[in-house]
Amino acid sequence: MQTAMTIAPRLSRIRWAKLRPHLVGWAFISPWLVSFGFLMVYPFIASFVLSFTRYQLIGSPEFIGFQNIQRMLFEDPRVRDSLRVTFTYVLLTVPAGTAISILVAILLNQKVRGIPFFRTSFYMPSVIGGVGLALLWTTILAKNGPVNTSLAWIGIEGPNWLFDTTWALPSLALKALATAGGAMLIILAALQGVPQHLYEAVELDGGAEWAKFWHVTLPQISPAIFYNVIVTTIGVMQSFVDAFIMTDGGPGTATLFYGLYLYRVAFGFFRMGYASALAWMIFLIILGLTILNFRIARYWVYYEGEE
Amino acid sequence: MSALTYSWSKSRTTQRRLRDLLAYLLLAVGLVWFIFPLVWVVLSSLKTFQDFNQIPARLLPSELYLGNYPRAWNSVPFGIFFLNTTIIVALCVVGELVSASLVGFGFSRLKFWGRNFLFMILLSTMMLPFWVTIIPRFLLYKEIGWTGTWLPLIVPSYFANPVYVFLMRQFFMTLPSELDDAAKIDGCNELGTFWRILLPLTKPALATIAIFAFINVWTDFVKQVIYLSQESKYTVAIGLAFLRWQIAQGDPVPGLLMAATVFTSLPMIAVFFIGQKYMVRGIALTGRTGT
Repeated sequence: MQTAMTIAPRLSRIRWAKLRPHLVGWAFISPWLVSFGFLMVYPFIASFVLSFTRYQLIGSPEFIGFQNIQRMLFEDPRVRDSLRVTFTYVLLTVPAGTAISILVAILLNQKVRGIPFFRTSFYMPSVIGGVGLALLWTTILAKNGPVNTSLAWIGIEGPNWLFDTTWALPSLALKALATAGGAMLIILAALQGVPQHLYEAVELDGGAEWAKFWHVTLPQISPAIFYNVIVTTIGVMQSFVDAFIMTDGGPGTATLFYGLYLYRVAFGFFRMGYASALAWMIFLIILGLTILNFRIARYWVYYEGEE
Repeated sequence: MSALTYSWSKSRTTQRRLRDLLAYLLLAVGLVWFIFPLVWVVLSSLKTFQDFNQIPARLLPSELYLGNYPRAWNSVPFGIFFLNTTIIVALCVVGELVSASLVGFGFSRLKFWGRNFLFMILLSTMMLPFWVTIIPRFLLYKEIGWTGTWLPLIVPSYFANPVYVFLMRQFFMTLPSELDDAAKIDGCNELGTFWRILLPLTKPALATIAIFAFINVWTDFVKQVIYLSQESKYTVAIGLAFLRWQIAQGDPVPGLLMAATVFTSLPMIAVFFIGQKYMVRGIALTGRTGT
């Protein structure tokens, strides 16, 4: 650079002036570039490579070819169990959660008094989150808890929810549905962004409330709904804390989420190679689901400026 | 006003009233659905051991029993855990604010090679599952001797979380570009424009990030449980899980657990009430929650 400057000072000054904004731009985003490299790209590739090794934190990783993958796909019954549990959980929570968040958002968009109070109350459980909320629901669903007491009023003897093979997973799903506050607020924001003149157009055409909802509201908020479906599916596929705290994966393998099993393999047994293979498989499954979601979206998500 | 329009407007009012009534009815159902668990935990934390053993379960405690609170506080060293968590959270919030505003500024106000491409990559990393990167990250931290310390929890927050970068970028985009031009004419370079002109205008976005980061770090159990191994370094979330295992192993005091749940959730509730306005705005701006 120094020599270049002395040989052709004017040219290099022009070059520098051209180059400078780009360098400044890259400098500003450099914190992200560092984490992208070290905490995303490197681990992403490293876990792929580790998938073909045996590594238990002692010595160095030993290359074992496709043994991990073979074991994962054909020999390990826990993988099948945990995938079944995880998919069932997705089916129990994502469609119902989406429906609930739409309904509640519409409710919170009504022009009645006291809406801020209701909005705050509905969102609050989502804020507490984590271990605290899991413990809270452990007592709600206890054998002698409020759920069973309410059921007893109408003459039903409730099961011991979290310790019952049949009911443990639905119990966790119920808990997830009662904390869908984030999705609800996203859809509420979308509802408030629907242009009023579209409703007026339906009114002029003599359309009823139902027509407004079906022809205006739903298409307009469909991108927000779609976004929620994508994000909650990805999130739910990775569930961990609830099973870890509330059921420890049990009874048996009734609530053995894939995330919990992976955690056990990696940080319970320290089988880093096999756990990496498991991690890559869940990545590919989630990727597949996301692509599938995008494909299906063509049929129901409406984007302004299309058609 | 003729009789016809009068009766018409009257039926319209009745219809409106019915609608409001239905709305309130459904809102009340929602209130029970979302809030009852929280009410239950507070009431349960005030129950004596005998209250818990009654069948059917009682809603209200037989007396206002406060004994669960000191017992829960002392059963695991919550004082230390609160201090630890406060330090971790404070350092993380600072890191997230600094890095997200710098990177968000870069992606929104500056033009450079590869900007749009890199931003698309940034957006797509938000969808990358946590589990696929955690093992090599753990091994990396282990290699440099960071496992067992708070560093793996704190240091990454200084290197820009994509979610907060996105939020900052969206906010920067709402500010008029004339500001940058004026600053340039006045002789500001990019850093000056960022620091003196634009950053003071982004306070609402910064507040939103601070709140989301606070809540996320406070409740981020998975990473804490993976990286921390010594009790002296534990966080509130781990302390709570700790208490749960103790109780699961035979010490039957649900009231204790409920009391601990209440006092460990209080910081979140407080932050939520202070910052709710900013959270809602952040969600409206980005179309996503900050988690």
